[in-house]
Amino acid sequence: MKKRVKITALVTALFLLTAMLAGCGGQKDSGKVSLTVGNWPTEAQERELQVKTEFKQQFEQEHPELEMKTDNYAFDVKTFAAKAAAKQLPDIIYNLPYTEVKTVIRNGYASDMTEAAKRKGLLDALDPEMMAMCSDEDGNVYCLPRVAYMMGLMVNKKLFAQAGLVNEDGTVKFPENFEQLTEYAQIIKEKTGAAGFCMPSTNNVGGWILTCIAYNFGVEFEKQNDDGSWTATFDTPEFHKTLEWLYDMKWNKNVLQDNTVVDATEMQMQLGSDRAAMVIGNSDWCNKQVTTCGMAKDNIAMAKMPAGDGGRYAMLGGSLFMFAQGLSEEQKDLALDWIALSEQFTADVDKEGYAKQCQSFNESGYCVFPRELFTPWISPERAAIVEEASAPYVNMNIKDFEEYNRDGIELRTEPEACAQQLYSVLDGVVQRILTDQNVNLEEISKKAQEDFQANFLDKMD
Amino acid sequence: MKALSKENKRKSRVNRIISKNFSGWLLLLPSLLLFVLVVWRPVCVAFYGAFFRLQGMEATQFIGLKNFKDVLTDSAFLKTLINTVQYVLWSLVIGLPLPFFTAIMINEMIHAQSCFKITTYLPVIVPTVATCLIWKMMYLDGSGGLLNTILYYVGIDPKQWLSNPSLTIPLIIIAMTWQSFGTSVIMYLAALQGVDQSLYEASRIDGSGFWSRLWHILFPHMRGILLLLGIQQIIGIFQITEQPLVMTGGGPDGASLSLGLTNYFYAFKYGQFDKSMALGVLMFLILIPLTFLYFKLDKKIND
Repeated sequence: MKKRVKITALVTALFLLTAMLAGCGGQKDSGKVSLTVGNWPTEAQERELQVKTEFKQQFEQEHPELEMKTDNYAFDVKTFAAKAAAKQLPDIIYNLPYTEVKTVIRNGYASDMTEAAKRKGLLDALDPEMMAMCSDEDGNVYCLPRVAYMMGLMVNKKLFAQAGLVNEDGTVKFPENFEQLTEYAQIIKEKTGAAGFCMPSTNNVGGWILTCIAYNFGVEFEKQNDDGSWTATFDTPEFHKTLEWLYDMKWNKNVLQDNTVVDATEMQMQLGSDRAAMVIGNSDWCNKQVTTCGMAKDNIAMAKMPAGDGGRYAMLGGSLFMFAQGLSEEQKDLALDWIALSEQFTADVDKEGYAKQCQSFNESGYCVFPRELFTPWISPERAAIVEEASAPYVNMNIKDFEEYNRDGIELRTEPEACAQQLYSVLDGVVQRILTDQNVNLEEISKKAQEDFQANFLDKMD
Repeated sequence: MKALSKENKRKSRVNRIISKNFSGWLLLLPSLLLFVLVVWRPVCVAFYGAFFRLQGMEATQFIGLKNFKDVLTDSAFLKTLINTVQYVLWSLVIGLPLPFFTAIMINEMIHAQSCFKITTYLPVIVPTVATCLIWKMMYLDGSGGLLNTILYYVGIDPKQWLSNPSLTIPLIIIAMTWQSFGTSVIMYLAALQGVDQSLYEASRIDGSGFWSRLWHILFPHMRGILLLLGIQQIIGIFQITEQPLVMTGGGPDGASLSLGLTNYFYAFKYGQFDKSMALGVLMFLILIPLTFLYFKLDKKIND
């Protein structure tokens, strides 16, 4: 009897143990080269899934040595670090923001793609300024620019039209400088009741946008010393002037949004739902404005950043392909071949493939422009093919984006050291200005610089 | 030789304990393994990682107390600690008495008691993020928020709510209390059911009113559970993270930043897992005495 109890207990314990460990099992090595592709469309994204599946079948036929797996994982700042640390990322990660590159390299989350990119001829075909943002100090490439943009002014055409701020041909009268932006914001507020300008304030977006604005007032945020350390340098009259401009918009002109806790999504929603007429944004947001914020395609228009007292600057940005750590050279080659086929991420763009991609975008309700508004590719031949291939599927009026160009504007990268931490500190500055009418601007500027220096720059390894 | 025999004796004692109830130990094994993997291991990893420079999650260099120093010398640390204490205090002011008195009210009800029990408990099943978003909409500045709409109808100008640094913490606590007080109400109600009814009847016969009954019968009976839930609340609120994250992002200008949220930012905003672990260890050390107190009280009350 006692023996039977023991056997029952043993079987039960083994069963429980097996059940517990079931999730930890790995897959048998099939002898093939495996490649896990992230950002795979879900069942709900029917059209995209169909196109991607066709590409997958074609790719697997072309590469019989490959065992291709798919993963719905799309970059998300909240889960990325945990997944990377646990080595659970797919081999190809889409849409990594530029701000994350330094962290990704420092933490060893990405594979060095320099040699593989050279083999595919990518290094000569891509904008060197963009590539510098994807590399470490020694020039080793860890990411590739999937989407590139410069920050600019995104506007709600309907509100501009209601305020009479349109040209004879129906295009928007964009403000040329920040004074004019204030003036237009006042007109819009007066004539439509909507906020003239939406200033975000949380999740580092407030700091990011403030940095974009401050560049135009001539602010330098940090400088590297001879010994390699960094010094915060933004507590200057130029930065005070930037803050004064924001303060004036909020408390004197009263042209900002009512809500003071605003992140990127809320800002985009304000623009999309006719509650705000202008935001600092970029061309990569067009799809989100249409698909998530319910904005009509012909209601969006964009121009370059307005000029400030310090010049006219636009911050570069975009999203990247990242390749998870530990890939073999063979896997790296396959990964680059895959994005060449499925994303047309190649110097020798295939007209038919590009057209297929545009068709898929069009059918999925995304924006298709007659040309790439801002591109990391430097070849004019590539631009010509792109223009020809996209023509039948264009659904955006390029006239509303003509002012979003590089003429007379200087491109700048994000602050190099601790950019996210800087944005976080500047979020606090924006929040103080938006919520405290009696705020002392010079005092908060000084404190922000001291905090950034002491809490982040001085503690850099 | 003597040491060897001592070792053998110890081994045989362990063997005896195991073989005495082998089946029990065997059944315990999966839970024990799970407990070690899911609870003890992360705690040990955090303690270990707090003393190292980490690259991702890999320890690359022993740096002693540097991570702790970095965390403690952060100019926002003191403010964050004070904010966290404020969260705790406000939760004791708002979150502790409200469910207690609600439970007493429900207990005193003759009709529709079940209906009130259910409706009180309903917010508990709303996910935390949804609760935060609902309340965030209510607190919106300008004319869009529910509170300001009400003010508008009674002829008062719109006010700043979450963006007012002196209001943001109590407002977050109100949202949290709304969501979680159903659980406390149910626990208080369960304790109230245990009150000796003869004492109640005797006090009624003696002509004592509600307040007298509350003071002389209910309070003495409920003191234990009140203390227990109070300590549990302090421990829980001390780790507050999601609510300020969703509702304010820690703002305005750090006015609602808590230690838990700072910890989250270290790890998931800045990728500084070493500092996150150091702060986690500090919070652990602060909460350990309270946890011991909780268990001691729990034992005393249950005995």
